[in-house]
Amino acid sequence: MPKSLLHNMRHAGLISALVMAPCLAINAGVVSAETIQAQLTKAPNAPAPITRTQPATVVVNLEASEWVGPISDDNNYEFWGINGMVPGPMIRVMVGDTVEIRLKNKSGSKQSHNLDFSKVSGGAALVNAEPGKEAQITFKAANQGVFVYQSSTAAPSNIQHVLSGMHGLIVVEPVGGLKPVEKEFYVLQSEFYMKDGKKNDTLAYSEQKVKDADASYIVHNGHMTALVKVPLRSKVGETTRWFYGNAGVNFDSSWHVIGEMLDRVWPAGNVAKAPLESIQSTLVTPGEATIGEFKGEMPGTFVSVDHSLFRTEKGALGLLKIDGPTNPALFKGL
Amino acid sequence: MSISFSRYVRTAGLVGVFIMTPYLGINAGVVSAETIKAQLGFAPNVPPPIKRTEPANIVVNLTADEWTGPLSDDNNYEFWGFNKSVPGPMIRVMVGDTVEIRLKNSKDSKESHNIDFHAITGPGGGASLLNSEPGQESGGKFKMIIPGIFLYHCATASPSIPEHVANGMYGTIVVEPAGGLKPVDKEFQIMQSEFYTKDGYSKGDTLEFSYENGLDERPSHVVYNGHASKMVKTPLRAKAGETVRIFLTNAGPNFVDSFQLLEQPFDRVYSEGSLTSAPAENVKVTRVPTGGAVMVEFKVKAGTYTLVDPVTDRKDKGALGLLKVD
Repeated sequence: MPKSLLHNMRHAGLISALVMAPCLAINAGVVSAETIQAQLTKAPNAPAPITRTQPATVVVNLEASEWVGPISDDNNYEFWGINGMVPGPMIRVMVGDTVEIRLKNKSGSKQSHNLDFSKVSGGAALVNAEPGKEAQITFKAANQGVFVYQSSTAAPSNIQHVLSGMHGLIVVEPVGGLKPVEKEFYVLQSEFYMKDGKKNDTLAYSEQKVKDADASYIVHNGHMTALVKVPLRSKVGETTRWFYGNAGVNFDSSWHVIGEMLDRVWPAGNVAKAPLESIQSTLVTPGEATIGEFKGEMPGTFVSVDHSLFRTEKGALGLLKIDGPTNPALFKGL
Repeated sequence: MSISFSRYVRTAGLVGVFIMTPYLGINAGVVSAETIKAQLGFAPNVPPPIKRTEPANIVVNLTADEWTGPLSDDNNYEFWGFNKSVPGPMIRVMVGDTVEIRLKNSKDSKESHNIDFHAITGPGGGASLLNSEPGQESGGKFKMIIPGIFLYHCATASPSIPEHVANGMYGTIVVEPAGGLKPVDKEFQIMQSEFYTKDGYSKGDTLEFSYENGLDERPSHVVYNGHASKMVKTPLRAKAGETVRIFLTNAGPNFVDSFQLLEQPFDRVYSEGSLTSAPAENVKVTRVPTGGAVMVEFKVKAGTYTLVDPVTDRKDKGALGLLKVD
C-alpha cells in the first residue's frame, strides 16, 4: 500500500471520528438513554440524590397489597399500601426522565388498585391493576418538584384508598440534581378515620368520620409514634432537607420544627422558583408536598409538628436529635 | 527607683497596651452592647419601631397568670396568659440582638408554665430553659439570628401543650431586619385564636375549656385579640392617605387562618411572616398557617374597613374587626 493512501485513510478515520463523536453523544442522550432500576426507600429515608445530567429511563417496580398492621401502640388497622409500607416508597427521578411504572397487585387482594402520576406527567398517567395482575405505564417526568402519588380507584371510593395508606412521594429533580446537603428525610402526614373500638382491636375504616372530618389519627410516617420511637438524627452544622408531604384528605398541615427555623422553603417543591426564607411554619395543603431546609445550629431534641397542636395528640409529630457542641452565645440559661 | 527599672515598667506598660488593645476591642463589641428594657405593646398597639443600627441586650420581663375575664359580651372564661393579657404583649427586637427573657409564674397559679419562642434557635424554642413552677422565676439569654414575625406560646406538657395555647398563652415577637422595617404611618397587631369550651352554656356562665372539642376542632369562639367583639366595638383608627401595617399572628391552636380586608386588596403581603423574601402584591386573601404569622400593608381612604377571616362561620364566632379611617 502506498504511503500516501495509508496516510489518507488514517486522515479520513480521524475526520470520521471527529464527525461521529457529537452524533454518538446526541444518540446517547435521546435514543439509547440509559435504563435504570429506581432506588426506592422506606420513610424516613430518601433515595440517593440525582447526579446525572442526561435523562434516563427509570423503571419503578411497585406492588399493591392489603394487610393488617399497627397504627398505634393500642390498635391495628387494615392498611392498603405500596410495597408493604405506609407511606409508600419514595421515588426520585430527574426532569426529562422516562418513568416506567410497573404496578403489581398482589394475588389475594380484595380490591383493584391504581396509582395516579398525572401531577408529574402533566397529563393523564394512571396505572390500574386487578388482584393478581400486573400493569404498566410509561410517562415523561415533565414537571419538576415534589408530588404526592396516590390511588384514585373509584371502588369502594378513591378517598378510602388514600385513607387506607395508598400514597407516597415522588421527587422530580432539576437537571443535574438539587444542591447537595448533609442529610435528607422523607416525612408524610396522613389521616386515618376509624370506627371506635377497644384497646388491641383492629379498627375498621369509617366513612362517616371522614365526612365529619373527625380523624382518629393524624400521623407522620404511618404510625402514631413512628418518628418518636426512632428519631431522625443529624449533627450541629449540618443542613437537613425534608421532603414533607400531606396525603390529606381533610386537613391543611402547618409544618413547623420546634426550636428551629426553616431557612428555605420551596412550596410544591418547585426549586426553579426562589424559596421563601426564614419561615417558622409553612402551609402544606392536602395532596401537596414541600421541600424545606435548615442548618442545625444547636444540639438537642427538636420536634417536627403540624402546628395545629391538637393534632400532635393524634400523632402529627416526629423528633430530630441533633448531636454536637452547644453554643452559649445563641442559647443559655440565666 | 532606678532608671532601668522605670524604663522596664514603661516598656512593660507599652507591651501591655499592645496586648490588651485587641481584647478591649472585642470586649467593647460583646460586653458593652447597650442594655435596654423592652417596651412591650398590648394589642392592638405595638411597641415603637427599632431605630438602632447596633445590636443590643434586650431585657424582657414576662409573667404567667391564670384569671377569669370576659371572652365575649355574654361570657367569662378562665384564661391562662402572659402579663394578664390575651394575647400576651408584643416584643420588638432586631436581628443580632441578645434577648434576656425572664418568666415569673404567679404564686397563685395552679399550673407550671413555660415559653416556646419561634424566634429562638435551640431546643423547645427556649421552653427547656423557661419552665417556671407557680411562684418561681426562670430565664434565658438568646441571640436573634433570623428576622421575621414570630409566635411565642406556652408549651408545657401538663395537662397538655394544646390546652395551654387554647387558654390564651401566646403573643408575638417581631425580629426586625438590621436597620429596621420601612417606616409606615400606623402599625397594629392582631392575634387570631380559637377557644374550645364545654357545650351547653348560657349567658353569664364562666366558660370552661373542653379538651374533646379541641380534639374535634370545634371551637365555640374564633377571636381577634382575645375577645369576640372588642375589635368591632373599639375599631382601629387611621387617617385618609396613611399607610397601615398589620402584624397578624395565628396562635391556633388548630385552624389555618384566612385574612381578608373586605373593601380593598392588601398592597403588600409578607407571606408566612418572612421579612427576607419579596412580598406578594395586590392580594385579596392571605392564608396564615397555624403557629405562623403575616405582615400586610395597605394605603387607606376615608371610610370603614372590615378585617375578617372569611372561612365558614368564623366571623360570627368573633374573627372580625373594624378599621375607621377619618
